[in-house]
Amino acid sequence: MYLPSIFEDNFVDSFFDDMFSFPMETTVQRMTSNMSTDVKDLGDCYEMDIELPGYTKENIHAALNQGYLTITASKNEENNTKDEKGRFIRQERYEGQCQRSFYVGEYLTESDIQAGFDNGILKLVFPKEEAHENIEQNRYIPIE
Amino acid sequence: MLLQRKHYPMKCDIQEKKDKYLLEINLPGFQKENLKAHVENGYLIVSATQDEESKETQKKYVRCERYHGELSRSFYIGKDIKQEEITATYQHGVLKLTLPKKDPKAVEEKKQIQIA
Repeated sequence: MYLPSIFEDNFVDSFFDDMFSFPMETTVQRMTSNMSTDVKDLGDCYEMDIELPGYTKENIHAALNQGYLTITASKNEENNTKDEKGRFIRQERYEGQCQRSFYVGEYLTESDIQAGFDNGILKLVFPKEEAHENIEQNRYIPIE
Repeated sequence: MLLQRKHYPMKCDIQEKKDKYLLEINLPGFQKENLKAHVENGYLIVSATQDEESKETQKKYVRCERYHGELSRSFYIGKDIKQEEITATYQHGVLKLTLPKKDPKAVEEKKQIQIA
């Protein structure tokens, strides 16, 4: 059943709550409840904030390949076994590897992107295409 | 048009260990000063606030998936646990709370009346 998006919040939840909630939940799931990303346009560069709570810097990898920026994050299994995991009363957090790719353009190289990880947020800053081109076009021909 | 579930922030895991309960809550991107937790009437209430963004910052978003705002979640823990006994740490965007396990109250032995 197709529903207009304005009915997303209120109408759909109450209507499907009782009868259809189980089958609906298994077939249609939100693809990215993990790794929510904010992208800001700061004039001459873009800033990306990716939520990666519970991961450590060593387990997060960002790779640039043919214009696609791919971020992969994995959980360290060693910590879990060392701590002797108890019985889970409730588990909502995602435990595992996750990956997400963004198309950023083929003009970028690894050195253009600055990345930092703080408080569970991976922050990436990279310049826009115009800014990148300006850096290269500094050759003037002297006129005598 | 796909049916979309709401994006619920503040996901938590509750683990029961031998001598304690471990509560881990996903709260990425907050400053430690803006995280608050207190016990009230048997409920452990965890809340997080964010500094409000200026309108200029809001105009600059190309994509906005994260939740920007106040968050609060409460957990029923019973009246036996006091606030001083709960310890908390915030690392890598995860707030970890440790609650001690209390022994169930020993049943009082029945005292017999001496019959002379």
